[in-house]
Amino acid sequence: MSGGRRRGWAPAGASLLLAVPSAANLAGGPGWIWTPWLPPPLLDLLARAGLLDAWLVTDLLAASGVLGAAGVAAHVAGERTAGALLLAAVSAISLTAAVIGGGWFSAWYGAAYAAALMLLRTSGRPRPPALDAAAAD
Amino acid sequence: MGDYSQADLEALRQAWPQPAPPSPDARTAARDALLQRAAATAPRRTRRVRLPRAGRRAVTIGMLAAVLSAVALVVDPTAVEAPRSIVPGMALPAANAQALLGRAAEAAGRRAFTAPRPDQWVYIATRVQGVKQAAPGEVQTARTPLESRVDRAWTRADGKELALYEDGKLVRSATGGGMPPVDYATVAALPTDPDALLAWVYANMGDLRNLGADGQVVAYRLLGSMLAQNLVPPAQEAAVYRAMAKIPGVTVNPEAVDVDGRPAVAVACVEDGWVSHELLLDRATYTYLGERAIAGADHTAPEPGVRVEDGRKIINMGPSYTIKKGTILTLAVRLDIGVTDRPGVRP
Repeated sequence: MSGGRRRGWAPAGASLLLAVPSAANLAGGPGWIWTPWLPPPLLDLLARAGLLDAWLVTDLLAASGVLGAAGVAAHVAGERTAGALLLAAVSAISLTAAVIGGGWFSAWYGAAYAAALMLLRTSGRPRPPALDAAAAD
Repeated sequence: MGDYSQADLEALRQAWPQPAPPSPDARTAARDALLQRAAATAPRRTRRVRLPRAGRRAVTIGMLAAVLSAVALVVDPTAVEAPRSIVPGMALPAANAQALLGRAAEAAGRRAFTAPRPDQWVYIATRVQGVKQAAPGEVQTARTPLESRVDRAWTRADGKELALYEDGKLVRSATGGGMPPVDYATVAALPTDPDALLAWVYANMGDLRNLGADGQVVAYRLLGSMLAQNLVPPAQEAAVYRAMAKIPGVTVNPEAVDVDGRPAVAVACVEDGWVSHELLLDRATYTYLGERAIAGADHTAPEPGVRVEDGRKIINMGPSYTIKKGTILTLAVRLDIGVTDRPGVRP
């Protein structure tokens, strides 16, 4: 497989990885993936800071896969740092939620986003010149 | 002067030359002098309209009230909806559920409260009444006899244990950690901001969140159950009332409700178009009294079988029966609540 083809497959593979937990979530009716595990005092703080609505919307966007799609789109558009940050943030928050008590569902999100991030980063890395020459032959 | 006649004066006037008219400068100077004197002698007329002292005070108070109302509207729009009685203990009729729940929240926030120690037990006694499970073809009405029992429960404040009487024997078990929480430690840690509390309830509904529009009824009922099953700190109790006020479809039941002879007021939320879930509060103090589920409309359970409703397949397992409007499905009245040092003992 050539480098170009592999780079083309990476976003598709990442998208598939990200779509599966979202599809499972949406099948049972869309639900938040972080908020149920957020400690109530933290929820209280968010509300008092006026950030509760923003938090709930972000949670829903992550749960439905919109943030994941935005991350992949950013990567494809060449905004690799922004895409990586988005995927890493969703992965980190999901894994934290899993540790607090979110269980396997949050952990699934966290693992899928981490795997998608690694796939995109690996495919986006510049290949050694010798490998490129071999692929051209 | 009387020595000269008119003819003499006329002769003198004709003899002397005609005097010259005054110059324009002299005329202007004389006019200015005349105006100055007139201004000095005429009484001063003020153009300002001065209000009497009482009028000024009324205007000042009115403007102050307008400013305070505007500030209150900006800071907390719901607070303005709730009129307060100027006579302590005298209740005003509530215009809507938001006003009533706002007043209940204010009353809850002012209530004296002593938190239990983690090793103490919260005792709650509740009398539960309601019609029994309907038999096939039965028609239940407001006159259908109610079954009655008294539930007594002790829950450790730290949430580690629950104690109930079963067949006359005190049985201790783990609380389990369901929804809503039934222990003081968990309830006392809940958000005191109504929006945060509501978000917490919706986020922790679990499978109940799949009920679509009825999710709002579920949230309302969970908040009601939390009050029924717990000793709730004032800040959280106030947050519960304010959160309920934000749930669409919550109304005031205009019909008078009496619980054990005490005047009560009901806040209601209708489920499936016929079950009215009511939160009963003391009409004067807004203390929690209990909850009631009453048929707000006639309802007939369909015959067993499969039917399609709104594109969804619904399977009816039970028998068909009819419940007429006014039938009390459940009436849970709080008899006592307090804190004890050990289970099985009343405060």
